[in-house]
Amino acid sequence: MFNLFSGEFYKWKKSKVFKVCLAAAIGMILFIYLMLMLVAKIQNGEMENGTGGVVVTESNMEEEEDVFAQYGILGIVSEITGGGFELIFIAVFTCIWVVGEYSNGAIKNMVGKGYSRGKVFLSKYITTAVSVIVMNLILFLTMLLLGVAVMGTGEVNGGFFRAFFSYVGVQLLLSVAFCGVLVAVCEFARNIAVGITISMVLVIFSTLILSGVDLLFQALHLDVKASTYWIMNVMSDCPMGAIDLDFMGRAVSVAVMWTVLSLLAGMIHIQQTDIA
Amino acid sequence: MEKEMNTELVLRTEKLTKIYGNHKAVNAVSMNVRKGDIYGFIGKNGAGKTTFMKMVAGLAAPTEGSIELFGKREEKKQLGKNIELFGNSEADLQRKRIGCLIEQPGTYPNMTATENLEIVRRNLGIAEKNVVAEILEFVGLSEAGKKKVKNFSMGMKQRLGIAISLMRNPDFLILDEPINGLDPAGIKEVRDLLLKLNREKQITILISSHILGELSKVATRYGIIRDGVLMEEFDAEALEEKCKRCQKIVVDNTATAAQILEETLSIKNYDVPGENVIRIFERIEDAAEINRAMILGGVALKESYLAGQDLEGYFIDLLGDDTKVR
Repeated sequence: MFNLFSGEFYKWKKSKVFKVCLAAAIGMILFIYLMLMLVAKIQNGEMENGTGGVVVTESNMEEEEDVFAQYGILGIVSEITGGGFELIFIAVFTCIWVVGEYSNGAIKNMVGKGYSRGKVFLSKYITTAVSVIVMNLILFLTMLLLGVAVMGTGEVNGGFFRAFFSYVGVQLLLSVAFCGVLVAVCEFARNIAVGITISMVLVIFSTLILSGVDLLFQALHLDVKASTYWIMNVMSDCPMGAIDLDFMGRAVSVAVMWTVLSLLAGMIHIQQTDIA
Repeated sequence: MEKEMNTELVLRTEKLTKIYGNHKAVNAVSMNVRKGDIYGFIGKNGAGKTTFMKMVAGLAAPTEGSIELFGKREEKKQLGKNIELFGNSEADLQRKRIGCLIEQPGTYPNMTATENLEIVRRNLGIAEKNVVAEILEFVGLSEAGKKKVKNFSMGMKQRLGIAISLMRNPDFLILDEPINGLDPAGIKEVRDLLLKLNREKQITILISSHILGELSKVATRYGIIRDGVLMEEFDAEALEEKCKRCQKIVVDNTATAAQILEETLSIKNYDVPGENVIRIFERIEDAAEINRAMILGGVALKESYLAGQDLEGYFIDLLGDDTKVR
């Protein structure tokens, strides 16, 4: 198993996939901050409404404070990550990273050399999870630094860091669980196009689909809310600041449930399916 | 058969079968590969060669039958019975002694040859770091070690695939069409490499190829598969015997014809491969005299011609010539 990790991390170091996805995500964060700066300048009357194609609605124009003052650093971090923004890049990375083994046939070099398929899958699963943690940490750090650069250190104090790190902790836990689901999806798909399509559907539409399912259950007089148990819903429900024990329990149980489910599904699939 | 009994078998399959839906891709194949063999595996496109090799390499699960690698037997895998989520079967453990190149070489195109081999070295837990350079040199890629694989020619990719399969000094190599797409110089290089591996490192090789002329230059034993069924297994000497030059005569009565051959012409080296057909392996230059003796002896001589197949002709006859032999 240690040998597999050694190979995986060497590959990770040499491969451009992680770096490109991370750079794209950082670029998007920069872009979001630039857009917000433009909005703030329009709100402050320093620029005309409509500059650069950015139109601030009348109600937002009437706000006494600009967008930065309203949300603060933590609020903006929460707005960006709560919508699953970073999951798009995680999904692309995971698909290329996992499915690539099948499309270039490199998995044959491991399975054909007598490694148990379970170990091959687990090593892939863990390296992907570690990559996702590293990517998320860098993205949160980027958001924090950009926030400080734009808004200053006014709100940065002990409480700020406590809120920030507890939020980041929960988000990391949940994004690792989500990455597990993506790894399992890729193991089932074994095709980059199919893997990315399904992953994007999960990232973009899963919360919407689950809202529909909730409505359906409600219509059937069933006292079940499926969305409560979905990772992305928990991610967006995560409060910035005081995270109570109830929410923490929900986050941990949802993360553990999906991690175990995806790990089992992927392991059983790789054992049962031929390698083309 | 006696030779098989007395020689150590590297691979032995028993009624190995693979079914996809209603199609039997491999149908009860019982194959024996002896230690030291270069086993040429021959069959048309879709005959089941690759599927068979994948099962041996552990990439595909047999529907029925068993595989014995280096004397360790593996039955059909069933989750919960002989598959554990993290465990290895006996045959899986023996697969550590195998190197395989099945279909395309498994490489990362955006990495160099050295990096590709370094990944395999780490995965296999080989401590010696210089093994990468040594293997690159062995397959003649030391100059191209820093070149990205996506810029490799087909021949270089195949050689890199062989290099990957050679990591951790395998005792048994499984090569599926390793000379596919190579130019004549590339084919010769791979052929020389295989002979070198077999002679210098005593590696047993199971190789499939559709370039039969090339295969005949290296193979010591052959297996012919058609529609998933292993039709014949024989040694290179037996093949040579089958392809020997002869005079073929088609007569109405083989018993009388045989009597004439032996008593009148003193010919002993002949056989009767089919109804009314006799193959005469000696005095081929005296074909006219043999024909005359038959007619004078009252045998109706329907056909008489000189035959003698090359390897390719023999296989095409055996496999049917409706499509290209692969």
